Amino acid sequence: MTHNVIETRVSSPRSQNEYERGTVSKSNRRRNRRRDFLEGVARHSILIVVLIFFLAPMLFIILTSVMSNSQALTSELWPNPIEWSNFGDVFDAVPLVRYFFNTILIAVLFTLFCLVSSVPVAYALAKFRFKGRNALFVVFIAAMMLPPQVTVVPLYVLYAHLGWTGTPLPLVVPALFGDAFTIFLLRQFFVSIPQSYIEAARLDGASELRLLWSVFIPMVKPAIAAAGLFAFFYTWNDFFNPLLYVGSNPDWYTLSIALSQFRSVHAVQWNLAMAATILFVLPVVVLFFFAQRSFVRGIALSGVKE
Amino acid sequence: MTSITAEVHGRTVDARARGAARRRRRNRSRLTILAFLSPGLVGLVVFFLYPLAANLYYSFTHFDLMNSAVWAGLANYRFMLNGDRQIGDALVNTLVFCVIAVPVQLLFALGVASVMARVRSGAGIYRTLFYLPTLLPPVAATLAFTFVLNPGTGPVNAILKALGLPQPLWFSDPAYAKSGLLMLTVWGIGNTIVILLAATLEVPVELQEAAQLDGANGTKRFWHVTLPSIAPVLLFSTIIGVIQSLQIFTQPYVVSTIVGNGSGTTADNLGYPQNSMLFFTEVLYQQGFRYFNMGYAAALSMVLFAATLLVTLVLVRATRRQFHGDGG
Repeated sequence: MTHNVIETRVSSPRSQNEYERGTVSKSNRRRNRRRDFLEGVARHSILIVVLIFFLAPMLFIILTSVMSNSQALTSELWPNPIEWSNFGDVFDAVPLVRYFFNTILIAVLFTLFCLVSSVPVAYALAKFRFKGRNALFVVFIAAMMLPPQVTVVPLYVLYAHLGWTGTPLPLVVPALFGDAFTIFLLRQFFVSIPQSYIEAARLDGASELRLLWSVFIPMVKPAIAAAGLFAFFYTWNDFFNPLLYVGSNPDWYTLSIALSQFRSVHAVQWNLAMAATILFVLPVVVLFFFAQRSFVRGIALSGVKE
Repeated sequence: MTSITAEVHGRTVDARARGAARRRRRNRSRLTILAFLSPGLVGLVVFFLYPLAANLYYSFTHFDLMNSAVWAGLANYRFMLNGDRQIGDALVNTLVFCVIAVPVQLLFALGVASVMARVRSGAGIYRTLFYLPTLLPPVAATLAFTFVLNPGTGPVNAILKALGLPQPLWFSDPAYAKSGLLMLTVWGIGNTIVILLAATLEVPVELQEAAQLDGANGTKRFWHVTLPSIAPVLLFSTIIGVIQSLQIFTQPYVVSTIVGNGSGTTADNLGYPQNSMLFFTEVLYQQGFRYFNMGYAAALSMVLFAATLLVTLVLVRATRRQFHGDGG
């Protein structure tokens, strides 16, 4: 926060004159304070105006989700009467419980698998010294940046041979073999942990696996939580892979697939569509608010190329 | 303890023993490192290197998944250049979208982030609120936008009507569909805002103050201090932005499915309206996984791969020249 304050002070153009004149009179200082204040007001106004445009669609979604079907078809913006029952009706309109179960199952398994397999890899990349370490890290970055569509044909062929298409297996099993983004993110976190803790435990004769499990992991719990959140959100939100592998099997539809077909199946029930949207978004928003700090740190870290 | 014993026992014997111990330890630690890396190494081979190589092979074949692949030489690539009616539209749409959307998204995120970096209080709250739309799963965000922008009764057109402004048909009009898509992607730009905000706040205050003493005004300081400092992060965001725009799939797919509803199956609606929303990866998906022209889909994948690689290399090289070349 102090950072912001300093920057604000530095950024106002008048202080340049102060240096030239060498002295700052009392009236001058008052004028400066007023200019600071006005600049602050201007900045907040800009942000608030942009924010109104940004948040308006969310407001429209919420308002429409509690409208009656006939009112959702008019251009009225305010719901009257408020129909909370939409959130119950939407469960009758689509097998939402089933889709919730599928999505949670896939997202939880993917997250667990990918953490278990990625933590040791990231730990080795951050804490062991070996030949080709940096080259290997670059390969992981390349794998992370590669569009998933580039490898999709051979992988689909592979899963088809295994008889896995139409099941959620292709969506979770690959996570057992490390996820490039998770490895990248965890490695970025891990390099910032001082080596001395590990060295001390190593001198005590602990095995490397024991070191990782009982010394290192307790120190980096927030990092692992953040990486887990990213993995969970990624699977929760994913559309392309579920479309490929379970898009033909309604038993295993995820919420993304179900929602993408909502309108074609249920004509123009905007109110129910928006209620389903909110139910789909709610778990993510709740998780986000619980873990906001480490999550935001994770995003900032993912943009730093080191 | 060991070092004391070593001194007592004399040099020759001890040195040999120590060498052997070190070698043993090194071998063991090599095995340990390999064990720790093994899930990632297997993953790289099975899900990255093998598919890349196999994809190259498939791109030279005709392959429908039922019968084994038949060598076809350059037939797939030739069909791409002349013969495929769709791919031309998709390529133009994808490039146009990429060239417009990436700068718009980045300038917007940079603008918001630099204003946010300068407010005395509340930056954290702004950050959270600007991030909210990004939390929406793409399918949910797209469904929401088809409602907000629906031409008949959508809130946006209701407001435009109340203001006496023209009301476009948005996702139903080929001329406006991509503008809707652009708004949708800018709406979900929270990640980039958070990344650029963090980078801007990390610019050393001393640098700003030094520039201030040299008489640089706000704009000059932004160009000569802030921008070079955050250049690596900006480059990274640009590359990610371009790659994501080149592979855009979910949003146009869902828009076309929902808005083009009414004319038979989903596959027929791809690109609705009038191919204005047909993007490269959608053609890839349709060819590979609806028509099972896997060889042709593999060839399209190779083009996407080459484009991704090319864009990344060009951007990295251009930026290196810009910020390091003349500075030494």
